[in-house]
Amino acid sequence: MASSSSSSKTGLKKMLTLKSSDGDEFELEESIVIQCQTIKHMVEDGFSLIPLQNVDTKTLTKIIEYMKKHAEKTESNKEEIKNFNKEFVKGSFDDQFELVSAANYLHINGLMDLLCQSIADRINNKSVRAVREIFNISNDYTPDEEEKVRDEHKWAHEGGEFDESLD
Amino acid sequence: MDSMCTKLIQRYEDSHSRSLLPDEIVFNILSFLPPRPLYRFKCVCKLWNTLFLHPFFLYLHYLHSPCSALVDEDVRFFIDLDIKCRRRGFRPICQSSHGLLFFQEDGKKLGYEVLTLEIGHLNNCPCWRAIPSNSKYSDDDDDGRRKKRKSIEHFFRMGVAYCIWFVVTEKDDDDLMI
Repeated sequence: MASSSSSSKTGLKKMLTLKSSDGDEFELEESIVIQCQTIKHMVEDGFSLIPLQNVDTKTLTKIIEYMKKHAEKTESNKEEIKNFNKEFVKGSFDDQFELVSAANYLHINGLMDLLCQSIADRINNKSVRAVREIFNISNDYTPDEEEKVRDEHKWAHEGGEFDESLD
Repeated sequence: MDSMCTKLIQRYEDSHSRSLLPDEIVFNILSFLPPRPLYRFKCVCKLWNTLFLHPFFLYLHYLHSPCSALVDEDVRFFIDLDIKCRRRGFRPICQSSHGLLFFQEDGKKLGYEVLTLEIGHLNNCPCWRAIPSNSKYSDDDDDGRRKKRKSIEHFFRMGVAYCIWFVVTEKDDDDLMI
């Protein structure tokens, strides 16, 4: 009895399967998944099994968590969503970079803005050296050149100590 | 020749062992930063030094920083003084790349100053000169605000000032979506 009612329920909603690069499959309602523009276009083209070769299981799990929560968005749970977002952006820079790459690939605009804003907030007060480490950028200046650029914009380097930590 | 290429690729992959973000995403992240750290991060690498020359970055920065608009001479700009700037604290920064527009909130009125870069004024060092502001236009009525905006746009079209910054003193998340 219970199973027939639940199956009739799912019968009303179109389900889609997302497949991570590790081969794990996730079944989700179409209404949740279409927040993601890339998948939306695939659904419109008639696909129901969607392989995501650039997104691993760990990242996809997080992204599904985000899409599920944001699908519930109404006028009354704004505060709840805000708290969810706050928790969502905690985690190492590497994890955030994985997520931001996936959000970019999947074209989930809300998530892209949330992640970029939070990463920007976290590096706002970092030192130049820390930022290089975090983004894994090698310094292509000679010491003289770097000094010159620093001198040109001295005001931006003034005003206290900058954060050297990498988290 | 082939083996040399393979070696180079290997060396590249070794030095970039951690997944590098594509420039497009890095620009997107940086576009959420206010001017001060952006100028500081010019020291990170040569690409980051040239950020302000990339129209894509300028466009993103304009989209994402509601109160921090960096506008290039070639980019059409429109600043809504009323919606975006009102009820925010602005403070001037002392130096920018080309032109500078200061906004400083004073009670209910919005003050501003357009500065231009002059070279050769003091021992051949660049320094800022204030362009007389049109204080005769009042902020209190629509007509005054429109005239003020027109006059600022005029400076830009004349090529006197190239960039403008709105610099925010405090950040208030709830206020960002006005």
